[in-house]
Amino acid sequence: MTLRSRLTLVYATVFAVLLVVIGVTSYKLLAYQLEQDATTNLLALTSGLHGYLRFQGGVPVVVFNADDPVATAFVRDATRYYQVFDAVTGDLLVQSEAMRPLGLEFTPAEVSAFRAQLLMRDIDTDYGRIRLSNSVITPDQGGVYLLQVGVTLAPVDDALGRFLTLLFLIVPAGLVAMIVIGRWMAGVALRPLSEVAAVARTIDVSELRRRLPTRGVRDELDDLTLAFNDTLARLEHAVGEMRQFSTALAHELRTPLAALRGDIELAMREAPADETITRHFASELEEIDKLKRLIDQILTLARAEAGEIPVAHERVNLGALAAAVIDQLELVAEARQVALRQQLDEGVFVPGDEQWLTRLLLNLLDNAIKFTAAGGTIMVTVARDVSDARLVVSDTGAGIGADAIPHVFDRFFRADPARTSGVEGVGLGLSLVKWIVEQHHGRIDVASEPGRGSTFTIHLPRVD
Amino acid sequence: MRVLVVEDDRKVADFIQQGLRQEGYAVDVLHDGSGAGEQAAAVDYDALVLDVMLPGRSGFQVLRDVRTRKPALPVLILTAKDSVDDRVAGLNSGADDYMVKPFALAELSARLRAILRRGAPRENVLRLADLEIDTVSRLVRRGGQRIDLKPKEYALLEFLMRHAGRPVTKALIIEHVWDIHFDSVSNVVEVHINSLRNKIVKGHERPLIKTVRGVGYMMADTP
Repeated sequence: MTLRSRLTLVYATVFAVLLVVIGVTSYKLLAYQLEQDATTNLLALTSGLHGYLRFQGGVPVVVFNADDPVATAFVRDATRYYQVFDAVTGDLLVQSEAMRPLGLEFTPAEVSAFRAQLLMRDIDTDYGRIRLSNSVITPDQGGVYLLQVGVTLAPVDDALGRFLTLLFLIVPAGLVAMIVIGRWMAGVALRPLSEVAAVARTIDVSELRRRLPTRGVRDELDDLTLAFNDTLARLEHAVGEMRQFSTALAHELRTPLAALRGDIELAMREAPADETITRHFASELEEIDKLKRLIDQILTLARAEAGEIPVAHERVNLGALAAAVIDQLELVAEARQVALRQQLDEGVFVPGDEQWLTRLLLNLLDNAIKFTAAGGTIMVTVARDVSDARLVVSDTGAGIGADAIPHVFDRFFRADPARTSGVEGVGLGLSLVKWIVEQHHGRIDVASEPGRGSTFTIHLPRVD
Repeated sequence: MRVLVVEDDRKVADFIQQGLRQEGYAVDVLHDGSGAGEQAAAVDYDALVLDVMLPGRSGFQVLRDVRTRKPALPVLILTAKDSVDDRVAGLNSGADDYMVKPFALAELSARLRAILRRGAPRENVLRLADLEIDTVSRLVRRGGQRIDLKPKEYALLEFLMRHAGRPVTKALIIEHVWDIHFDSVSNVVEVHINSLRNKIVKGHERPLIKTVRGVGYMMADTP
């Protein structure tokens, strides 16, 4: 899961929990408030109605001044839902018009129960919930009456219902919006990070002088960039020291070798013409020359990989270059009784460095000649592909085992010592080949079968 | 011929001195670069062999100093580094040739001969015993018999003949005969020497082309 997705998920979860908590709390608060209002209203109506109620001959009558609009409005409101029972007999004495269809006729037992506990009751009817207050009236003329005043709770329930519907619409919509916005925000927050990563990815060991750009806002990302730049600086320093080390090493090795070689040569000149001694001396000189070549190759490769060797990008005729190299090696192949064949398209041009491309072909051919026994064939092909140039060197030589193929470009790698013991070289040639191919933005593939031979195929960008 | 050698490594300086003396040069040695300019100006040297990595003063500084006093003095640079920059810097600051350590004495003397001979007229016809090559028409004859050579074989033969009587190293041969640096293809010189021998020596009593083990090859009219 990407950091962006994780961030989005965290945003969305937090927001969802928050939405639900807010929704539930506000619903509860609203419900409580509305019920509370209804209760207050009911109590006011009930106590008000007590003031307007008279009993004339055991019959309750609402008496009020019709000229007073406030009293008129109040009484109309208060008498919308009301009924009066004789608390002793349980007989219903009066019932308001609106009360009638609700079917709230109570039995004498129920009436006495109401009287025993003067609480408000919520009762479900076909017309919605209704809240009834119970109060007892004992007029001076005698008798005990139970007054019930009601308010309908339908508007409260309606309001709560609508609020709930709204919540059910708003919460998922908010969640979707939050996911979209959260994803966008995470993207915005992480974009500089991706940019830093993209730049960091292009820095290799030959470009340690480069630094990542900071945005100068001193935020966490700049911190990271600065930390990375610090690491680069330390790395550059360390690599610089290694380069100095290799230069120093070259000097420290070459000078004593020079002294050694000179001494042996002088001794050879002065020694009596003794065959054995001369042979020993000569063999030592050859070893020193081998050491010199080894130092040269290691340093060349080290310097090449450190980016200290410039590689030109001129228009090079790959076919003609191959022909020239083959021409120089024809006798070498002939001496080993190896046929050196060619199939060269001399109209194939690549942007490159003639010297390095020559070195590339030379190393490949050198390898092929070394590992091909007498009677074998080496084929060099230069051809034009759709968009690139193809250079193929194939031989009928010893071949490379499947387990060794991934390592042929490693430094100092030599396949199967038993098969290569008689072959000179230290295993740096193909490492250099790979470096040259990379410097030319090409790619190299190896196909091989032990005992059948190897094929090295190189694709290079082509120019017209 | 008098040669000044400026080299801080005493062992290297010693064998250069001895080796060159054996070949008939008079050799003076300095172990640091501080007095090299004055020394080169004070004595009439024919050539200067200069190490570029000297303590105190770099060989390139010494070289500039020498050049202002003696612009025409042939200078051969010795280096233990071989980066391209160093080569370019060496040749740009007025050296006539350079050599990377370790090197063969034979190569040192061959390069020294070459820079000393610079400007001298080149012979058009080279002879050794009954072998004769015409460097203008590129004709090769042995005992009056014409021998056909491939271009590389001819170039190799001419190079050997110009150094007849003295050994030349494989490195020198490759540098002068091939336009490609064959340092990793080890036997390209051997192969060409062999084919040259097949054409020039076969059927004749005197071998002419000798192998000097550990050093290289030499053309000589000795048995």
